[in-house]
Amino acid sequence: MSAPPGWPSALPMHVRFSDCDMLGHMNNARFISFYEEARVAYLKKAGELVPIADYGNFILLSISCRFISPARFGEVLHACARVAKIGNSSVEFEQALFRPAQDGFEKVAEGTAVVVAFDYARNEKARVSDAIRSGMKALEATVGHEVAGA
Amino acid sequence: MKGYPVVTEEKVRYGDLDPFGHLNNVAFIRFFEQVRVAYFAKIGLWGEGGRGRCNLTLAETSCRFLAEGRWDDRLRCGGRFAKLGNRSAHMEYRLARGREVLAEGTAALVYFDFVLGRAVPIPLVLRRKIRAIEGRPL
Repeated sequence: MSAPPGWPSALPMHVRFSDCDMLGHMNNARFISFYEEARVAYLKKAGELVPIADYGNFILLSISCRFISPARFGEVLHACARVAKIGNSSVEFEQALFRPAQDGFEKVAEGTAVVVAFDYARNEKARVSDAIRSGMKALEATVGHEVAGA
Repeated sequence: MKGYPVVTEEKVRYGDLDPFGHLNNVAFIRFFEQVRVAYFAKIGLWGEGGRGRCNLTLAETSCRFLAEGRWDDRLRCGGRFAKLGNRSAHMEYRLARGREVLAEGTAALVYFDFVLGRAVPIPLVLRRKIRAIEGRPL
């Protein structure tokens, strides 16, 4: 299954019966969960391009989601993530869910997630490591996307 | 919780924790949803007849995480309306452990007619109920 164009990482996710609420739609909290899976898949894929010995810890600072079209039981959605910007200790992700459509892909939802590298021993934010920066940059380059601040 | 007319009491369950031992971000979104539907129940949405022909549907949501939630935390989640538009409304949420705020969130809601399949104006009776609960103009 090909990935939606412009997105270097897309994870197929099944909408399960228990993901759906009383309206028969995938519940809003599941979208957030799919985004999380997409970010994890993204990091794993970045680590396949550039060896990342230590992913460290990322904590979530903020998340947002705009719901465009209801998702229903039995669908397979592509959970996508890409990096828009890397700061000193933060990474800004763009996220989206797509369903396959006749002429490519239809966007079901889009959102953002900002994560911060965190050092639990010192209990303070840490610099995003060079390996992770390189991995993200390399992954974005596969779709011709440049990362701000990388 | 000052400034939030509807508040739900929550307890962090084992299954809400992730491998870091933190209350997972998805659980925050679900707590916001809990207080949202508690508010909806107060204004007669989601009555015994289910969703009804029209209901406020979620168009957009956001959460800003300020502190970690942990195992067995007793939390309170507050909800309020921040804005009432013609067909849309905005809500704000706050999740707190005692006086410590764990997260703040927003939701954009659209009043949707499921028969017509489109957004319609929020009825006056609903606006009145929301204003009565908020106790302030919106």
